[in-house]
Amino acid sequence: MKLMNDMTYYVKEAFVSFLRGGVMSITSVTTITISLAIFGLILIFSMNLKEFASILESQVDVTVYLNNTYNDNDRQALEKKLAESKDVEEFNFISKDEALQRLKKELKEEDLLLSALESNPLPDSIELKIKSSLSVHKIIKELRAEFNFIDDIFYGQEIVEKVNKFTQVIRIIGTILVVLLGIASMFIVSNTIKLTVYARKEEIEIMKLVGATNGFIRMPYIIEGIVQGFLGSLVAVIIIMFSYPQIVNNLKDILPFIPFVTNSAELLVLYSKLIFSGIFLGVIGSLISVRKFLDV
Amino acid sequence: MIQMYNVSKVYNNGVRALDNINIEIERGEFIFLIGPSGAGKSTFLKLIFREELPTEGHVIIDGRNIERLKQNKVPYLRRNIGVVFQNFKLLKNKNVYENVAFALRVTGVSEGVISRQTKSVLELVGLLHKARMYPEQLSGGEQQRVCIARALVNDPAILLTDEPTGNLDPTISNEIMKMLKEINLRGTTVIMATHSKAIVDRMRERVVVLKDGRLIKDNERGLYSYEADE
Repeated sequence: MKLMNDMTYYVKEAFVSFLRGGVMSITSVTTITISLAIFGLILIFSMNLKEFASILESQVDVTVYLNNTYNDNDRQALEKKLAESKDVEEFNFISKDEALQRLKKELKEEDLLLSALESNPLPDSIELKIKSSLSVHKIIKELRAEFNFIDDIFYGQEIVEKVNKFTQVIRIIGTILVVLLGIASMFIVSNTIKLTVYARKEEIEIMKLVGATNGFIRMPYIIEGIVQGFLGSLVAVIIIMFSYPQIVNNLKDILPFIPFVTNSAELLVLYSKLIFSGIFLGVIGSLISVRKFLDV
Repeated sequence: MIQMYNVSKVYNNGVRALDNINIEIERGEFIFLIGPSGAGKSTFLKLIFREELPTEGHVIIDGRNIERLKQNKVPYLRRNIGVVFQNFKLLKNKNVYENVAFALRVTGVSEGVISRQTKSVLELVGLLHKARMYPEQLSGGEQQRVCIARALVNDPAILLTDEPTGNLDPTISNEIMKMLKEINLRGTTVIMATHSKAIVDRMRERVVVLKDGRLIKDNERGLYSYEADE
């Protein structure tokens, strides 16, 4: 009962002060909106990059050529190793006969050339699909060390390395941007709320003198911070909701090979992240700004 | 109720506002605190509701040493002490009713109790008909009475008033004195800092005289005089 009573007071005070804040409240909400809209766009950008990078990474194929010295036991050991490896998506044994068939198919009419051969010159091989390009080197090293009947390993070394470097750089830049922007928004929000609190410095002092506890004084400001953060992030989400599909539509024609994230579940997670960040910014901002005025 | 032992207060700027004060004040007393400006009257009051801490000595309120009082217990001490500030300290953006109700609201009592007690105390100071007005719309005397109402609404054990009749005409200040005496008779300890010779001499209560931070005189049923008794 007492709690409900207090809560009504806190919420009422928060809204009254928010409305009375006028231009200042609008400034605060706008600041949160701008910060979170930029923050959101960066998150979306990095989400798309991640998607792009993971598609590039998933397309790494490795072919392992075997020499003639192995027996069935050796082959079973190798396949067992591949089956147990977490990095290998799938593998496929290609015997020298199959390889020849394939080659014949690919060459079609020119198979006369092949018919001229007395024996099959192709080796047995295993085709691997690797989950992430990052683990290619590790797998190759392990296979070479363990199995001496491996003749040669072929993979698009240069492409894989370039993709690796690119995705790593992009991830680092994205993380730095997001962190910097987060700090900047928090700073702006806490300063805006500090202005609101500063305008009520006298009020806080009087509250303390008539025996209000710090918690009692803080509560309306925290709720006001929540209101500001929520409104700010809501506007940011609405902006992104409307602008992102537009951006995707425009870019799809220019960059058809990029798989843009349009999955609504993923976007929903992003929107709730933004709303949560907005509320978090509001609360932390108001806590930082009230703290200073509480030691009377 | 209130005890001070060898209390001195030196502010950060080096001003020695109080110098070795010893006093005991019993429950239900009415005390005039007099002395020239800058004698330490306001500091004396501030120590009692712990707006300031003593530099030396001990201040004991209702058996509790205020220096040892934890920060989070201070609000509960203050709820038991009503203060009428020299400069009123009313909230400009709240109306009369809200200003008074506020002191009760922070204690977390129900809205029904708040409403009942606020109205009754506003009636006591004769301002119930102006409950919806804002402080700026009131005269100095009326603001003074709002401040008194706020100090009383908690039914505090101690009432501190700093120049409560300072800028009021004699009729109103007489009314306020009558009110303070009534409150005192109901059991509240009243300490009043004042410059008004007329009031002190008429009331004949205990008079404590401060001069340059020292307690130079403490008389039962005293008169208004800064001079130390020979």
